[in-house]
Amino acid sequence: MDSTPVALNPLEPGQRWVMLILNAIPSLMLAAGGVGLGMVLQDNLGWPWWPSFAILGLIALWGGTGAPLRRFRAWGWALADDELHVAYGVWTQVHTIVPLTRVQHIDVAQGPLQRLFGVATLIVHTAGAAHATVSLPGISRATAEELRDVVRTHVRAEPW
Amino acid sequence: MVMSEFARRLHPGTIALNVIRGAPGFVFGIPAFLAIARDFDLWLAGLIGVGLAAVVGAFQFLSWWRFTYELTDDAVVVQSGVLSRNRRTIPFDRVQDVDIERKLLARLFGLARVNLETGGAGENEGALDSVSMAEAERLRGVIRRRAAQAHAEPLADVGGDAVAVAPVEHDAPVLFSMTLGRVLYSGLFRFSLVWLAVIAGAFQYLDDWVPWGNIEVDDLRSRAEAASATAEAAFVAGVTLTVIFVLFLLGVIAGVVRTLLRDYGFTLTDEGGRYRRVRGLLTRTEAVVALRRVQLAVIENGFVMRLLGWAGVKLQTLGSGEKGEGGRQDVAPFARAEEIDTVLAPLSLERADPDALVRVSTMHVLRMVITRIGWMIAPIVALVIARANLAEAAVFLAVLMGLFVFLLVPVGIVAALQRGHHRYGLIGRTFHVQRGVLGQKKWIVPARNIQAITVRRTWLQRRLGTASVYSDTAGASMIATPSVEDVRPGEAWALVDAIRPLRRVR
Repeated sequence: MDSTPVALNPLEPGQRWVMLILNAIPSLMLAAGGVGLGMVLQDNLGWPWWPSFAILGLIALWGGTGAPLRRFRAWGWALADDELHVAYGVWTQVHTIVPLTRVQHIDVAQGPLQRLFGVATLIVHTAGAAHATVSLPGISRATAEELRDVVRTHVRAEPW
Repeated sequence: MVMSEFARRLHPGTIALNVIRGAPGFVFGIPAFLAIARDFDLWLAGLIGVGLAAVVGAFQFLSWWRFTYELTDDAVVVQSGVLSRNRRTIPFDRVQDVDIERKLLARLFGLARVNLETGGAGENEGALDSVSMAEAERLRGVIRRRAAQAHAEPLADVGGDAVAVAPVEHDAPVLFSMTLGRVLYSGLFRFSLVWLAVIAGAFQYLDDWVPWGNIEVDDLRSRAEAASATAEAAFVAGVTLTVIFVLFLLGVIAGVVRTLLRDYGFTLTDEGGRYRRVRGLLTRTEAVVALRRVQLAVIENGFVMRLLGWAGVKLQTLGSGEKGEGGRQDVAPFARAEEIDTVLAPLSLERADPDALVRVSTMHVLRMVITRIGWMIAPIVALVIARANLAEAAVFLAVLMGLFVFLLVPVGIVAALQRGHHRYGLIGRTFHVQRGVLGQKKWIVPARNIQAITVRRTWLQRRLGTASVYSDTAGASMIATPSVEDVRPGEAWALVDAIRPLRRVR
């Protein structure tokens, strides 16, 4: 996002694979749906089956490859002063700044797919309501634990 | 999974407890199971049933095996998850209180659930479900002690404010109170149609008993019909107006009665560090608001209220809301400007002069118009294409385009008014946001209470060159927040950069 206050770090490359794999199944389902739709149209209206497959297939292809990669590139994070910046989003760009002194508790989570590629998700909980939970997927486990330790030093310094 | 020597697992009885809790779900599977079982021998069906139960039990065992908790020097660490591993760290100085919850089933097993209450929104923060009662009490003692040390304040203040504090001083100054006259007057503004459904329903039953007397409505109507067309029209209009008037009157009365019941004898006293608010006619309710926990103040009013110079003030406080402390508290439902200033003074909050605040970008008007009626463009385009083939499409197209043009002006005016009334600004250490044309809200937020702050740009906003700023506070409502919609990106970042250093100051 333009005029961001700090330079943002990208996510670990392993997260790219996680996103691609997670997107693969819905994309395949969409392509299969295209074939199904084509056959229905052919049986009932006599239209050729391939146009609907082609259209949905192209969308599925983009959804399965290009879109997750774009989304991956749109993620960024930074630790500046005593604040955590998390930015994401392709169509709707969001940039959240969390003061480390306001953090209530921290999760370091790793799904099975993430474990395979060596990335983890850091989830920071604040006391707010709307944006109370800030998630940062796709950083290395070591970085997540470093961040968690940094957060804990700040929490200790300034009690609520 | 690394398990330090101090980490403990939950009580093994939890496995059985969870299996039993999930049992009601099995009831729905029994008919299906029986249907399948008919084809098999009874013993085979029994074997399948046992097999399924074993699988469920195995899952429960695994998740019990994976769940550990331990108390480190400065935090409670909980590790969980079979497939997706999670490690949650809750620092002691974030723990507000520790609850022990004993539901019936757990009690039978001699178990209890330990809930850690933090400043968060009451979600799944820290729950140990379930440990033995003895362990629960041990944990509560230890965690409360460590939390108190970390907080460096008296233990009584951590949980609730009414616990160990001296009784009410009788010379506590009254900050704000409402006379009976004012309560009734304020009720006029709380016009309520809610009771109309009840009243309408009641009329259905009471119709036979209500003495309509000699007035026979049908008789009158036929006489009017016989007289002339205008007489009939006048009759219908007269009846309609009467009904509307009666409904209006009932709405007003309902509003006044509700307000009387709720706000009779409203008194707000300043007890030095906290406010005590008492109100109610039949049920006298009392609420205590600790000033330390106040996150922001909201001044609300309706259109007519504002014209006559009245407004209401609510304070949003920290807390889970279960004990009645959190969420929004009414401190002055119907007050004059000077009275509002008196109520806000102990909090060091002041109302902002609207002229000191800045309006949002004019692009907000365009964005509102596009989001509200822009969706019509798609069917219009589709119809233009379809017009080539179908004759009926031309008719739909004309109707839709006419509707679009017709709506454009009023929607545009409303959006322009909303933009004109949407102001924001940072005055000293306080963040002010004002929104609303008819029903207006003004937020007064000390910057140090702002949690996460977010700058958001949708695709449309990027085209129009604007951004929105969302500031999150503890105990906030999900519906109305002090968000600033559609300012230029440079200004959005300037606002964020100005607020950030203020958050560090305690």
